[in-house]
Amino acid sequence: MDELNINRLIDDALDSVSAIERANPKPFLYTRVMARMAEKRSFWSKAAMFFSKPQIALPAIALLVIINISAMLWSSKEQQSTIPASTIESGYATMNYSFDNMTTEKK
Amino acid sequence: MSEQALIMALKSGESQAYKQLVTLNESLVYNTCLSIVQSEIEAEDITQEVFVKAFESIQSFKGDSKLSTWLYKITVTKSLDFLRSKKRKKRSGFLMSIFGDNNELIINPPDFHHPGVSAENKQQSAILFKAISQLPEQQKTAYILTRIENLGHKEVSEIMNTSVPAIESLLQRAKNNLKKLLENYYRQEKE
Repeated sequence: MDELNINRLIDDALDSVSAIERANPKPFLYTRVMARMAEKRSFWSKAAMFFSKPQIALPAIALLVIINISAMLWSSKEQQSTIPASTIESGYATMNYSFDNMTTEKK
Repeated sequence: MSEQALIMALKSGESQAYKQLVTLNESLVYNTCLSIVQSEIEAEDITQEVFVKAFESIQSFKGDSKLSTWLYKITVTKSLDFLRSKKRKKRSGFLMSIFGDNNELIINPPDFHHPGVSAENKQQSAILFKAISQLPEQQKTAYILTRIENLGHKEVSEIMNTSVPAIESLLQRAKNNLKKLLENYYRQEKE
């Protein structure tokens, strides 16, 4: 009896949407859709959408990487063409802390 | 205005055509959203998103299916996307089923009462909608489009980009799963 009752309840639940009526959205949907479109078309949203496109974002990232690598290469070239810093530093060290200088001062 | 003329007018950006598209299809879009997301507020929001998406991508509409089929596709995609993001938020610590938007304690999410259901079927349909929400995405979509939207298997197969036998199989599995879910529910009620 219980089993029959459960089966009946299941069938009732499954049939409960067979005569369902259409629900209506709130009025002025078109106006709200247009407002949302205008909001989306604002400058910043447009800019964000533009830069988030893979065909823009990927070349932009590649360009940044190229600029960084070329800047690094440029600076290392410049360093090679001038006197290396290590040489200058060791030169000062010899001048200031050499044994010869110290002995001269003692004399 | 014929459908072909409407598509042409939409592609050329005529605002009157936009208005006609919304007026002719708002019920289709809203009701599908409502059945999938089971919330009037969210369904309103997604309905707007669907039309914005339709206007934005009308140029890519090739006309190889009916305009309504194309709108159904966008609607189903947007609604399922919403459910997925809701699920993700829940997983990442937003205890939405326990705390509501205002942090009030609501233990269980409220039952969904479809506004188009008659008063005598209100309780049973709420139980059915709860069971539908537990179905896998594909089964849920096939069931809603055939049983609630009353679409033919062929149109549903076009919307879901699959074959008619695949839709029949999905429907069969959906019905079996719903029966199991409802049986569990009623057995627990009796205990």
